[in-house]
Amino acid sequence: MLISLNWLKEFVDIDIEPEEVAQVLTMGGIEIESLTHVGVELKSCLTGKIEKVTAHPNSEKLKLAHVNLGERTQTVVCGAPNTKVGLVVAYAPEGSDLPSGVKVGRVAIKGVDSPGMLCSEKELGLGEDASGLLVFEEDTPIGVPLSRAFSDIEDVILEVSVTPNRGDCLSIIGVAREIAALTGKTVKLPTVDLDESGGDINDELAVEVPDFDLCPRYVAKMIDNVEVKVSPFPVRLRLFRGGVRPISNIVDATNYVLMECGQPLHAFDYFSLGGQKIVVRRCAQGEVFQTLDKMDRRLPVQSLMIRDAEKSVALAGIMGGLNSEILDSTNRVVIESACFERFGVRRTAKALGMSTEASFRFERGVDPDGCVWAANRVASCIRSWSGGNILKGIIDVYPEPITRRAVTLRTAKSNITLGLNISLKEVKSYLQRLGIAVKDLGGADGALECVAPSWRWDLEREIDYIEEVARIHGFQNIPATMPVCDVEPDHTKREYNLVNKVRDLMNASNFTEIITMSFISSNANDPFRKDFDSEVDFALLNPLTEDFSVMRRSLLPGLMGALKRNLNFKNENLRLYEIGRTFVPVLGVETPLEHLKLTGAACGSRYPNIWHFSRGEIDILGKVEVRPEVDFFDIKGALENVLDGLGIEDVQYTSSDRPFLHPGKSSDVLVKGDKIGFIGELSPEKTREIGLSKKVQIFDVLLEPLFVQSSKDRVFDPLPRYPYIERDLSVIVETNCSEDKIKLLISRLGHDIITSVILFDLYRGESIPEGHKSMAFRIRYQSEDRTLTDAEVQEVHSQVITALMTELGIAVRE
Amino acid sequence: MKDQLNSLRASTVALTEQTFDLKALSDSRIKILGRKGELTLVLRGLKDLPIEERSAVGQLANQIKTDLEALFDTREASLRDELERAQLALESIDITMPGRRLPLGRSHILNRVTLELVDVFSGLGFQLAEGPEVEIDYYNFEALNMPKNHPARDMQDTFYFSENVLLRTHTSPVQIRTMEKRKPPVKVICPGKVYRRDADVTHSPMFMQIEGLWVDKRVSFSDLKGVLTAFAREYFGDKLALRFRPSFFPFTEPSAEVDIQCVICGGSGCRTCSFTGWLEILGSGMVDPALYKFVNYDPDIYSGFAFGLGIERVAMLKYGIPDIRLFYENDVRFLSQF
Repeated sequence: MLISLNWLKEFVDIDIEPEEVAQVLTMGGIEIESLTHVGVELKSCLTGKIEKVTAHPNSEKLKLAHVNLGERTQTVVCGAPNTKVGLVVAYAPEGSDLPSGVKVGRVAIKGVDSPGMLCSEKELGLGEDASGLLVFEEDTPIGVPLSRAFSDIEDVILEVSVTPNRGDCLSIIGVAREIAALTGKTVKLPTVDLDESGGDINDELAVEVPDFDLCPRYVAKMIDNVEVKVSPFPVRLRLFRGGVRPISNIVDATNYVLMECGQPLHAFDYFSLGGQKIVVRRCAQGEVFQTLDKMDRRLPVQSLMIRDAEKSVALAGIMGGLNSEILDSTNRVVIESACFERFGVRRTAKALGMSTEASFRFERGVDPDGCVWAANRVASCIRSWSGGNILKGIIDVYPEPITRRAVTLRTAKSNITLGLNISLKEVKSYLQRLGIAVKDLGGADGALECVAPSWRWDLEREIDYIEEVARIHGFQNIPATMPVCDVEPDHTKREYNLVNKVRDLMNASNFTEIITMSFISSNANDPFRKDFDSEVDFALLNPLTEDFSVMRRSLLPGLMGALKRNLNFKNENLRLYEIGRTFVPVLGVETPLEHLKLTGAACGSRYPNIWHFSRGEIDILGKVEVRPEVDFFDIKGALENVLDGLGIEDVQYTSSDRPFLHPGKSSDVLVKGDKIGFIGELSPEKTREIGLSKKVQIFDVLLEPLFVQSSKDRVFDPLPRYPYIERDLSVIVETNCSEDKIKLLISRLGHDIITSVILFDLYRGESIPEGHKSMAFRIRYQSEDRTLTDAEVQEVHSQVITALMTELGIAVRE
Repeated sequence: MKDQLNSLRASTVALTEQTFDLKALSDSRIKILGRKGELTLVLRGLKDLPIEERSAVGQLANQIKTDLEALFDTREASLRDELERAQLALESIDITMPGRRLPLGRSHILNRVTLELVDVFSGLGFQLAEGPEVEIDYYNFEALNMPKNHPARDMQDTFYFSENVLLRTHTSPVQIRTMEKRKPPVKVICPGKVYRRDADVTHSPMFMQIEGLWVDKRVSFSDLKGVLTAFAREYFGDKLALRFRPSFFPFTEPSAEVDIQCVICGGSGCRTCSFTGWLEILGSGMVDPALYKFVNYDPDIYSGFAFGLGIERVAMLKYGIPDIRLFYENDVRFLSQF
């Protein structure tokens, strides 16, 4: 909301600088978002009267205006269509630097010298109209600076942000009240001058409010013989500065008073109302109504309407109807000043997706005691801006007056809540400054009975009053203390710490963390989603876009998106991971299960492109690979780091049949026999479908089961006291024989002196028959209770070799 | 014979000084001190000396033998030293080249900031609580004093799955869930993802918040000021002032918006702070007594404060990041900067 400091000053004495006003309001809870000094650029501009208009010698469109500036007459070239003898206009002399950015120089226009110019309101920054000259009222003094002719030309505009609980501050008077309370001043309300020269309103109009639950108060006032025209310049200026477009003097009057006191008002053309009657009641079922903005609106049930004897004429508290709007020909006006029920207005406005100046205020609560004042104020404004006769009397339908409940505020409770120690007297004076009626109830806790003023809807409970005490006392004057508490151990961070540990482990493997959106595309054929997450959707009713419309059940779609994006930017060596929740709907339960998952992907070079890795490494075929690409074992290594770091034991890898993985390079991951995820190379088909330019290795695991298993109690293993002996053996097996299988065979022999079996070499090159590979194992022999002899070790080692040869029928070499 | 011995000593000293090679030195040692060496030869003549001279010359000869042994040892040691030094010089490397390792990856900047914040609040005595991201109306609104049709619901544009199920719009539902489960004292911080229907330079439909709650006997607004001031000093340094100004949140009363002096200009006014010198960083307030009704706490016994802040905002301010969307585009050129 934009408000004028000059206007504020009509209602409260302000003897501090504008910046300080802004500070006081902000620290009082009425945030001033900006403060702008306006009109200061117009210091050199003068009012002038066009005395004579002559033709321009070289142009038919342009004219020469001879302008009386009081002490002198100035002739300027002017192209405005409304240039006319007798008009009082604004003259900007040479050298003026106008708010619109126009710099006025001395120029010759088509051969005629033109010092200075006559201005439109747009050029002066005083309005939006650029179609012609700004024309002042005839009685405007001539030859004086604009700022002297009109006191509001120079002003300070405050941009006010009002919190939803303070509907009472959505007006000049509302803000003035706050300034008064915060600075210890009082608010002055102008008395309304009503010269009621018309007939009796009750002879012309009747108001019925059958649905008074939605309209506690309805006030109507009438004025006759109005002349609809443009409002006086000072009125238009105030509206413009407040961000409201001037329309006509009648409509402007309702807007002006709305801005002034916060009471939404509506003006009806009396002769468009059928049956001399206003009826306030709920709409008919399925009713369609055309509002002022020419929109046909299907009314939601329970919408409150203003009707005449036959038809709806306004959507109560939101917008008037096109059928009863003020026209240029309007002669007789009915002013509505009502108090509509907040939640009713909100329900209808929200259902229709509308928010107007009126509905915004009704939703936040308007002052029920302000309706009559506002109606009279509008009538008085209309009479002075357009002429006419105000009808005698006022219609005020107010069957059940709204009263404010008395609330007990305990000074002691207030002090405890705020951490203050202020006296009952101070508390009382703070509240009284806000217009709250306060009565001493006595008692040890300093109880006060408080009754809120009619404009405050938000003071209903003790805590609401405590807040007022804090505000007026000033938050800055409340001390900062540390709470006193018992020290207790913290068992709440286990999972959080484990998640961070997983991050550290992934980071150590050169993986970078990403965060992707929890919602993904609803299109089941979206290549990023298809295969990864194609089960039943948990879908948003109101997604922002189709791409973000169902909750993810897998982190893979987001991960693939991130890979693709980075590959597109030529970042080709990628190792990315994400830790996040997935959402799995459960039949018969409203909310989905949320699983914490870790997923990772790698593509591109295994090593960074720096000197130590530039000679490459020898692959299992014995060839040198200069820039080896990441493969299955790189991503498996990263996962192993995580599992190892978390202290997970009993991990198994079994081949996986997920359709999006390479069938020969994929594995399920089992911990203690439970499947917790998978690792693998993305299948060529899937890679092509997503449009990735590299082979991609991925893994995806559930974190919660890992956290359950993490670092279960460990028992110390005594350090070996006797030396070990190592023996190597190598086997040539078919390529599909797994390392696992050989290890299992060795362990089945049950020799307790074998303490480890490690695959230390793998070779498939020359000298190895086609379809075979050579695997070399190092077996460590060690005993807990003696030094082993060579003979003893050799005996067992021979048994191992024999077993492998018989079980697998393979060649074993020592 | 004495002369012979002395001259042998002199010549050996000269010889060792001129020998720069370990092998030559070893050869010389054998030639002079070996079984068939020069000194041995001289000593063989000892038996031919008169008996009275034998003892003195014998002593001299032994002395010279010891001296020469030492001489060779010293020379050998110094030659070895020199040789090793030369060898080390040959082995010297370019110590400015990078070490051999896989580079480190990076945690996402938002998670790092969250961790920093959690650490600061942990140090102030807060425990941790988390809750679901898909919430029901009751926890997200109703029990937070935002009944249906409450205008405050407009402050948060919500994603819905059904009339009753939604994506949480703030981390505040965790407050209610925590209080439901536990009796005071409750001191928790709740980090997490939240969602609102909004997308532009400063709004992402998914973003992160951290929420704090402290409820106990006689916890006051001044405690709220104290704890948040301590937090700001710890996190932003003690040079920047804080200011608390009245505001409105449906679930706190009194409510306070907390501004910190601009981290960029220090309060003198710049573009980041729109020339006000202040930046909004926290929403806070005393827990509205209406909430206690939902969790069966007695508002006449217990009171508390709550606060919340946006992780992105803190990160944007701290690192000068202009656009919130950068956090979720996952461009490694961005992610690896922090």
